[in-house]
Amino acid sequence: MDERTEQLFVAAVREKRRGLWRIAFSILRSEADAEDAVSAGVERTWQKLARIRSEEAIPAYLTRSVINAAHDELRRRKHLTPLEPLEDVLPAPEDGGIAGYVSSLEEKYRLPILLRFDEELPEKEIARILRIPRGTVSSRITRGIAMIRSQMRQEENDHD
Amino acid sequence: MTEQELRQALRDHRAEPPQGFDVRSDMMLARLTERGEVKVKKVSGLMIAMAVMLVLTLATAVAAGIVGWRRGLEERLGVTEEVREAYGDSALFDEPGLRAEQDGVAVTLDECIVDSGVAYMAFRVHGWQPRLAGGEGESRVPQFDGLQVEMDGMEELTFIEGLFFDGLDSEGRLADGSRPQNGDVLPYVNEDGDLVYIVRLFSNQEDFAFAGRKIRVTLRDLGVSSSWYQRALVDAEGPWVFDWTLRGDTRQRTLEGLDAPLGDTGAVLESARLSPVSVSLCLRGEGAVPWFCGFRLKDGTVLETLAERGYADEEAADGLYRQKWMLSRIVDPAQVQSLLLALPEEGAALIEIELP
Repeated sequence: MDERTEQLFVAAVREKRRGLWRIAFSILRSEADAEDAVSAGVERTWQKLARIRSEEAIPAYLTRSVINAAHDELRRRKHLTPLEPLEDVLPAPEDGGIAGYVSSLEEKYRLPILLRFDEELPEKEIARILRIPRGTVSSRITRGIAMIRSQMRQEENDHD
Repeated sequence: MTEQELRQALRDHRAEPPQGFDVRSDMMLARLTERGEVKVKKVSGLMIAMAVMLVLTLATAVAAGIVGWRRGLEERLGVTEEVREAYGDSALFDEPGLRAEQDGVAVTLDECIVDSGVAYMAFRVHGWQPRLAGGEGESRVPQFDGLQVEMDGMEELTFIEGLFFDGLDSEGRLADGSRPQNGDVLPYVNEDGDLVYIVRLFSNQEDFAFAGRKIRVTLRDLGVSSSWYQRALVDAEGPWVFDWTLRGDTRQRTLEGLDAPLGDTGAVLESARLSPVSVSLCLRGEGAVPWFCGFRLKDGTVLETLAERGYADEEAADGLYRQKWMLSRIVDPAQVQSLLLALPEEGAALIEIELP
């Protein structure tokens, strides 16, 4: 592997790592597990670096690998019976706030919204990361926002 | 709800990674790149291990920087009676005397040596015999597979390292003056059966001080790492936990307005701050600027390879390049006559700048 590619990889990890952690955390709801997923995703990307076709694809590959690692952890959890409470699992944000509504969305709507509005990625990049058509990204974001607005209206009506 | 409101709400309620995340991530990157350090372009800087340029290709060399450490902080950093007297009333040296015992292994925090850029901590491990004899062609080193440092102002740390002392001096020689051969098992274990684990912390921030910061060091999974196995061979899980408040000498010899040309490089040394185990420089120039190498002392002693590891700006900020370096031994700043610098290229000549 040439030094330039290695340097680009390192720079991409440093630039993206906090955002990667937030994405993993949105899936796993555990600080430590999110960090492990980031580590695993970074390591997987490193191992496949020589096969990534273009240097511009490294950030998307990183994000994809971290999401995969988080999903692996979710699958693993299903087979475990926790003996102790996960102390570092934070509760979902309180209901009533926009962030809380986002947090309560199904992952297929939540992830595109986070990638678009929190990580500021273009839809084309999100499509590459999630490996879904661009149109699907757009429709899931639209649908997710509609669900949030619907919940907000519902809450306003409940208060009236 | 507008998209802007959504964007703002997500930012206002952003979850943030736990303390130390960035540093642990850097450590992982360092392991991946297999050079014990990462060339990092952070803002406009490079994190560099000078020892890589002087590397000894021993089969058991774990990371550049630890090769060449004598047994114990005192021997390796050249702490003489004169140095202790010179710093007798300072907080440079500290003996916290903290002890933790788990799984039959006692770990004692013997000594700290701390100035404004670097903190060294020596942990003595008693009651454990590492399994260093492996198969033919296998290399093994003792290690704590888990080193966790939590400190007030963690984000200001640039570098954390923990390695067992390997018994070699600064020239890569054993106690009897000989050099180890490839495949030799290095003398990690003292004559009294103990090992010494040295943790180093470094910050490249200007005006940084360790003194007064609360710190917790947690050591886990004591064992050996092997070139044959992905995971460490762990003998004792621990953890061994140490909580204390760092002391440290914050005094510096500060030299400003130097305006000293650096040979024919076109660069100029503007200022220098000398601490007992670290040095900061500010240079002005265009293109490549020399890096700090060492000192000439007032007694004539020349220390050409003092810069063990450090940080150097790759791009100038406001026309200035900043560097900060860990030293491989303690030097009383008052005894420094000249700075020695050189361009970071093979065969570059030393440039000497006499200090006022």
